Amino acid sequence: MLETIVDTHSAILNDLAIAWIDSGAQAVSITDSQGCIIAQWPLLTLAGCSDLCAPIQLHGHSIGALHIWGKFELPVAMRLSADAQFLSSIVALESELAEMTTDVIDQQDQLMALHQLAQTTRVDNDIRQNLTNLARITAHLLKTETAFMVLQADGQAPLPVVYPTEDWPSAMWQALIQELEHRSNKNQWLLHENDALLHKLTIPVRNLLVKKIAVRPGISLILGAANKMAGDFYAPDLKLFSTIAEPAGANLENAILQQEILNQTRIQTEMELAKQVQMRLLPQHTPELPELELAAQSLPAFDVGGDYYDFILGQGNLLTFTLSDVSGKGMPAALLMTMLRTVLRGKAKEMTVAAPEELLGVTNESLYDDFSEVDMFATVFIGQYNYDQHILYYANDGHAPVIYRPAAGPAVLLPADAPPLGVLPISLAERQMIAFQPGDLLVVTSDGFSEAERCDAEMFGYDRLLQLIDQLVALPAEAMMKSMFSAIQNFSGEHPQSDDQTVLILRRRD
Amino acid sequence: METRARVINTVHVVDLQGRLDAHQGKQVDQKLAEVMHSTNQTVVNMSKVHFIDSTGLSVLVKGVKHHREKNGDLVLCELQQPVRIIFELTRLERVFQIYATENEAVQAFQ
Repeated sequence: MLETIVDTHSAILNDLAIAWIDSGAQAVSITDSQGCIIAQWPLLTLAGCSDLCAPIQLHGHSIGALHIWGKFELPVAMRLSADAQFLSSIVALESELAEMTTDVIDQQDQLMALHQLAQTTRVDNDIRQNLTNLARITAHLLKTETAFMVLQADGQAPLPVVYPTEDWPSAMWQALIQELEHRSNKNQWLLHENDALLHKLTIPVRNLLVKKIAVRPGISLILGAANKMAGDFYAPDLKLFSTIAEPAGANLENAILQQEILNQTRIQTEMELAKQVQMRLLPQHTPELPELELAAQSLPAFDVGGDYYDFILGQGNLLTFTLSDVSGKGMPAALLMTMLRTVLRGKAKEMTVAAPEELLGVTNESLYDDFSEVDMFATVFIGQYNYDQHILYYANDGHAPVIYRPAAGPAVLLPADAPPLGVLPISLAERQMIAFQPGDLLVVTSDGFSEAERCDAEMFGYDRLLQLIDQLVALPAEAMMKSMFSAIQNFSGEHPQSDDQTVLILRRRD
Repeated sequence: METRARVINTVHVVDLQGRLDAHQGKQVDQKLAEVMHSTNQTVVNMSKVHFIDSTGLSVLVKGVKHHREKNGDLVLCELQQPVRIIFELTRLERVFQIYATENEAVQAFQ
């Protein structure tokens, strides 16, 4: 300290020394607290000890001395002492000035850091990144070795962030907060290493400042700063801590909200896209054949489920038709459906002879790996109607309900004989056939139809479906289909549609 | 959905309870994945499952595929009637080994 002042005030000290020399002193020097010479006038080696000296003091401690060489009377000693005191007060003022400057720099630093904090939480960072920034800036501002943040949300695992990285379990901080909240109604606590609570929970810190703030109902944030680097936390630290914590809650809530909105938008967009894809996959109109009445329609649910039906007019008097239901929902289901459609259509168009079990086999083989990759499967019914011979050939991988009603009734369920597509590497489906008489009817629906629920959780079920078909049998296919949808709608009432509902009707004309 | 896992000799038994559907499917999927870290012999006790949909089925299908890839198996036991019907309609009873009691299922591994 003294050395610096001697440097910065060299001009004045020079004048002081010259005045002494002019009034008879042989030499003047200033020494530090060890007695080493900091400055001397003139610049020659000085002999031995000075003849007179006076201490230079700061806050009551000697930090050096002012020396003169020569023969002097008593008043000179008083004058020297006065000069030394003068020097002391300069030192004291400089010291204060230095402290104030440090404070100002500190505050500027803090303001920058707070500003930075506000900025970073506005940017689209994820929650963990926000918490890390918060911890880092808290440690920096409060000058602690460590800072930590723990985000607690009801029903979820807590999200702890420690800066710099450390292996402190978040459970430790949660237990601490619980105990502290038991102790008092406060939400900010200052603890020292002799505190029984820190011992009890074996938290190895010298001092700890910790606070809990509410972010939103069900979500709270624990902020903490531990091991203050120089000494202890004082009032300004506590104030600063509050200053950091207040906006932290609001900023965090914004970040959480942003993320929620983003997720929601992503889901909605995906749903929209999936729906569009699905709509494009379905046939825009049913084929017109003099021998058959055909009707088909799909009513998608909000959570697009992946129903698919198709008509493929191939060669050899063959109408191939299919109804399929993928096990998942959303975009993955829609994409798998696209692939299924491509393979089925590709193969079906080439076939001149009915072999629905082959169609299933080829499709299963092509898509087994893809289905396995996303852990999904698809129930698939394939019918190939030879409209020259009026024979329906069909094969069924796990699909229900498939209903056959001979002209004279009653409607019966045709069971599947093999598991859904994508479950086994090889399709087990076998070819079945029914010779169709005039008026014979085939109705295939997806399970969104038979499993339609009403508010008391009762499902429509197969029995009702069979009865319904028997009741509507006199209607042309198109009208029958519309009535079926109405019936389901009436049954469900207020209960929302949870799965796609698809119907396909084929009848041999009378 | 409540899930519990117990161990009998080398066989892990997973108890499921409630609806095995799109909402609960994820949990069950995780539980089965967990169990698979320590075994490739798993019995799923379905006695308390009263409902299953295609998502629930796909979780079990995934489980059985993974177990078989590791030269093990995932088998089912004590299916309730409504669930049994679903397995029959989809012909998934041709894919899974299904036992009437847990004992039989565990014995089958030994």
